[in-house]
Amino acid sequence: MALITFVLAGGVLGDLFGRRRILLIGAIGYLVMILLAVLAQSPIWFLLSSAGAGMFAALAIPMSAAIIRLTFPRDELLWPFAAYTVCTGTAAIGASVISGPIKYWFGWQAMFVPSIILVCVGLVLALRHVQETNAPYGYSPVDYIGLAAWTGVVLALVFGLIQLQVSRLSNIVVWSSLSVAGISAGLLIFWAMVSPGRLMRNAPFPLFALAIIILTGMTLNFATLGYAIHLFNFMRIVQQFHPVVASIALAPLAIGLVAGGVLAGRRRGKQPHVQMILSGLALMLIAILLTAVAVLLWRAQVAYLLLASLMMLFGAGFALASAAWQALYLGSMPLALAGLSSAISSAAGQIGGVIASTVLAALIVSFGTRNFATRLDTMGLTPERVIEAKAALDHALQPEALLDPSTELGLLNTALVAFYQESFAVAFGGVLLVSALIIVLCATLVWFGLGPRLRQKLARPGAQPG
Amino acid sequence: MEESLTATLPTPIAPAEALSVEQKRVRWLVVAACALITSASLIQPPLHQLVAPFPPTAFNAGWTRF
Repeated sequence: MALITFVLAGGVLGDLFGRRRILLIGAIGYLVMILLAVLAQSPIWFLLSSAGAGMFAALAIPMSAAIIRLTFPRDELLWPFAAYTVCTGTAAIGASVISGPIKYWFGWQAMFVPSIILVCVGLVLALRHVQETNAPYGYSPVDYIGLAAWTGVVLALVFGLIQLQVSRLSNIVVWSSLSVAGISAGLLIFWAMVSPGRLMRNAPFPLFALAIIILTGMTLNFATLGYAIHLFNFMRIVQQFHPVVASIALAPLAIGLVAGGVLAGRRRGKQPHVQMILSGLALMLIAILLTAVAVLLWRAQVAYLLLASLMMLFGAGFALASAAWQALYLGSMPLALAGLSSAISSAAGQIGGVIASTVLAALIVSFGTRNFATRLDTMGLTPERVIEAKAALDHALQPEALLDPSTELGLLNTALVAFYQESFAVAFGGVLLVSALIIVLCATLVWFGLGPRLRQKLARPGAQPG
Repeated sequence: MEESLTATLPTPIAPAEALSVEQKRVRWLVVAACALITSASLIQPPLHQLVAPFPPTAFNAGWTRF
């Protein structure tokens, strides 16, 4: 939640004090912190500099999309946002693909090299070509703070409530996110008091439509990160791929991203943005459902070529939906709010990503543990023996565990690990079905929530809803 | 509305057909700069790849503990 606060603050600061300035502060700060992390002599030094890098990145990221928005007219946004989505998405997937091999062959410090090169090239280009913009036209700082606070309420409440389902009340994450929701709600009330009658005066969308758009951004990142992370785990744990091979095996996602980005750019003017978002979500849904069916049917024997094709389909759907979503959302918000609008979209995406890695992981644990226990139950084991078997499984998963079937212990370990792999595949299939359900809910919200009148307004080239 | 707002910006947002080849190139270099800076921050190595706080236990691959 601290990162989300930085993202929203970055958006507000950029709009008020200059988007180029905040982009450069974020990028230079990030570079310095990354260099400090590489030179770290102690874990504390490393963790602090990594956290600092994350905070500076949180300032820079929303400025990037805002500057792109301010560089192109509304009707020409699809190509630049398609390129932006492809570049950043490919980098994120590429990082997971290459970071494993880089660490394996060159050591952990080398993992930072691609990031350092990219930020240096980006900085040179930004210094030379990005112009300064800050246009608080018709808005006061209170307007920015109010919109940021409202976003904080939505994101923190959604995140807190979802985490509540996972971790009950014991988790500090739940309390911190609910606290952010409370503070944001307090800011909103303060805002309404100092500017009576101005609440969302300049909002281009009704509040609920903005909430749907934010939820769409969350869902896109949630589904994509969840799909990539857990597919990687499936290949590593169930299909027994070496971690480096499992990383490289995610590459078709990037190929799909490029194809989807080109498709999105070419659809410019031919298809309303809302329909493109729905088409992209449909492709992602088909890919997720087919992956779930394949995993549940064939478990460890599912062919990689099939998974690769589905990854490409998923990547294409994500790029199509994401580019159209950014063009629709940022193209419809007032230019003076470009930084904050972009920050809202970044924050939504970040929350979606965190939910994907925590909630879906919790579901895998829950589904998998239950399936594993059921398998042991059917063998007639007593509850005490089931607990012992789970502890033995944790031991059997250690790298030094004996998995030689010629000995009694090795045979037992091998059988437990085989059971575990089957249960993991079932749990992964279940998690994919949950993700599919969330995509269906999101598509339904987009279709009905944005409403035919608003959809027509948004679809019309050059129209500025308000 | 777009015109009135862009008037406060240093460079009005012109459509592609009103730009020279050089201006179009600069616009795409801006996209490249922004995309590279964002990409750089997205590929910061995840902490779980650098430090393994929990031993790998069943189903969570040692990344998170619930």
